[in-house]
Amino acid sequence: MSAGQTSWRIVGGRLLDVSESLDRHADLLIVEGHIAELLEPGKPGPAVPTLDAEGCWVLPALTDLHTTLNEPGFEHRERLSELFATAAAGGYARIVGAPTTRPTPDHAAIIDALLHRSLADGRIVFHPLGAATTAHGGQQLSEIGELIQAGAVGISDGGKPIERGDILRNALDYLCQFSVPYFFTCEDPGLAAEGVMHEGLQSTLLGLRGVPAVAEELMVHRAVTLSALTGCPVHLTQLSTRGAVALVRTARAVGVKVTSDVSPHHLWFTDRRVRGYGTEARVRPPLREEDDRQALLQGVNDGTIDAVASGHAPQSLLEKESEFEHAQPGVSSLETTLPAVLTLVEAGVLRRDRALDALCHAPARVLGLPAYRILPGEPAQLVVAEVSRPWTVDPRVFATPARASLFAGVELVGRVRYTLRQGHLIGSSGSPGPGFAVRGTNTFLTR
Amino acid sequence: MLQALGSFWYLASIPRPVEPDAELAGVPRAPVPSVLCEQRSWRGDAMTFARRHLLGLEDLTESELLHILDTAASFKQISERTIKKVPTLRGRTVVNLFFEPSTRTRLSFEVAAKRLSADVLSFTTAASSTSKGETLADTARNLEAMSTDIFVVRHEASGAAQLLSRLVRSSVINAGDGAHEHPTQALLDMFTLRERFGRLRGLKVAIVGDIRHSRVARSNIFGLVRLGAQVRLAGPPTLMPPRVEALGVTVHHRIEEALEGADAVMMLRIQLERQRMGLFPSLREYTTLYGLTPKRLERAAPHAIIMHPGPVNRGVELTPELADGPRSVILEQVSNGVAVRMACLYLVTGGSEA
Repeated sequence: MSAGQTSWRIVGGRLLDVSESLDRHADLLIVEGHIAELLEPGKPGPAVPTLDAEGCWVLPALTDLHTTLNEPGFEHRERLSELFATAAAGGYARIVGAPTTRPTPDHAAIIDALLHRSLADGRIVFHPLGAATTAHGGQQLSEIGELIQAGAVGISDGGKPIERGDILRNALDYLCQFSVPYFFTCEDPGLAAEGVMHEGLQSTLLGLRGVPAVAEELMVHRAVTLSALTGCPVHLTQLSTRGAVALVRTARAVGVKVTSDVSPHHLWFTDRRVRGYGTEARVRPPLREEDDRQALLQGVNDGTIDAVASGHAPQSLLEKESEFEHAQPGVSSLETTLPAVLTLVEAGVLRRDRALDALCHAPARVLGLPAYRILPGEPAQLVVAEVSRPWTVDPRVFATPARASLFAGVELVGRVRYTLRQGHLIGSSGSPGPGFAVRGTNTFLTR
Repeated sequence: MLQALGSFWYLASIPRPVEPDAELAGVPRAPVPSVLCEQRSWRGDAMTFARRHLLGLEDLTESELLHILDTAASFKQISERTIKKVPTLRGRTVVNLFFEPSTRTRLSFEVAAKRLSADVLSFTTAASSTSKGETLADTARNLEAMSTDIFVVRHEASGAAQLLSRLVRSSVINAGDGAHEHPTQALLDMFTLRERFGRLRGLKVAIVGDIRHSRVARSNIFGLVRLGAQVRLAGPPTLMPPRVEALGVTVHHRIEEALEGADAVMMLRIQLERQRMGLFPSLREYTTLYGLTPKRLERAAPHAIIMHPGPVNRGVELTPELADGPRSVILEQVSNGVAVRMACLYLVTGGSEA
């Protein structure tokens, strides 16, 4: 973090802000952390340091709706400081952390502690989610009011869906007084229990137990129906099936308050990616079939799916270098989400306006957070992404020690060059992270 | 005509085997010498087996499969001599890495390696829930540091053999990985069938049992379908893998349908663990619905043979009289297993002499 420097001129970039219908080649002048004005390229202006954005798009900085927190409790996977570093390196100025710490954030003191740590770090705006039930046990409601007062921006089941219908209904009912959404993990625990990948032809060929698509569809139906009953807004995290997309489309058409997100890897890959048993393909929810992938792309393009969320779920090397069915699910995703989406835009598969909205604006709308915009007077929350030249993803230079990535070795456009928050340069590419050197043959690096 | 037969000119003078008819029903047929088998790899074919590993049959071509079977045929002759040893792999080290208990397969590989004059090490360990990938990778790297040539690995996790092949420089033979593949078992099954019937193309083979969790079934499906056999699967819906019809097999939920006119019936072992998982209510019901009895066997062809990868649950999938009767080729499978494994050990080292 370059201490104190908050005035810049971003030179030679293409400014894109879909919420303002801004699409213009112009220089951006930032003074004292705020956007001062848009200048014609080459037009003289105040003497401030320049950031070269030649061949780049300048976008509002990203907000992530789904990243797993591992401190406290699972520090061997990723510490908070490493999380903030990898987020900044990925173009994120704001992240929402799922309540996956241990102890569970079911008490205001833990929310407090998390916020303190993020403020002390200072790079990223951090919003924690509170746990719906104590220890995610699905039995006893947490003190949700206190969690929200302490700073939680939403309530979540943290990956362990509440099984009993009456308790879930009470949680949603109770939440209605607070105008925050309930973050739903769409996975029936019984149907998903034994599965390590999508249940289909590939799971049969590979001899691995599968999670059927209905495990997600059943829970989406449940979420949507209870949301309609109680009037509580729900956010469905990490959709993966065409059935879920169809259910969400129908529900929204009749006015149910449901929003949803999808991960970049579910827009890119299918269950065929598991062939070879590379554990970077062990993710939750699992990668599904081509028809599902097409439905997810269509869902982003027609607005059924509001946001693209990274689904960042870092795992330690030990937890990933193992047999497929024993590996922990999860990949490092924050540094590759923006490039993965921009590559799909460049390929013509995703509509640009929808993709940029899904990354930059929809997450804030889902939570009622202030929007980041490229407008004179607004704080400078920006990401500069290089779209003119492709680059090959190398997880060894990630700012997080978690190196399992589905995009390892993949050529993407949209590498983040600079990330600014409040005018501070919090991330710039080319600087390797604090991770350790890779020893021996990492299976997920030899692909 | 002799010119047209090319290198098979000597076949013209050898009588062809008698076609099976009702009079010969129930009498085991003499094995068909491999030189008379209709499906053989063409000697001049450049596409012989050139792989460093044998991880499964899914990707093997027809030519590669036939080459392994032909090679096994020549090794079988060695097992019939008094001195059952050839110096083919002398000086090479074969390590049996068995993370799952298995006496027969391990012994079979040991005998095979020793008949090829290789040095054999056996490393057996129970794969408990705490000893995961680190054990496999760590163990393999340590053993490889002692410069081994071939790893024969059995593990309870699907993909373990592939994982191992990425971590070591030696050749890897998959002796069974989870529910994925058991290539040498399927190869010996195919060898047994070819020896009995002279061919695999058009053979009607029924595989009955817990297909879903069976690596033997998967490897057999890949190999038999590739070589043109007609494979029928039978078992309860809860024990069928999803979308398995896409592999070119037919699925039946009544054993009688699968047995109709079958040339061979392969019975799979049913595990009690699956009943505990709620996949079928009881062994008794399974036996009632899917056990092979002499009455049910009448539906099959008169010359039909009974196969089983072993060990047999007598009274469950097979009645004792069928398991030990004249139609059963279970013991032939075992002896063919040594020959097939000798062939696999030989071929993954490039088929070169010591």
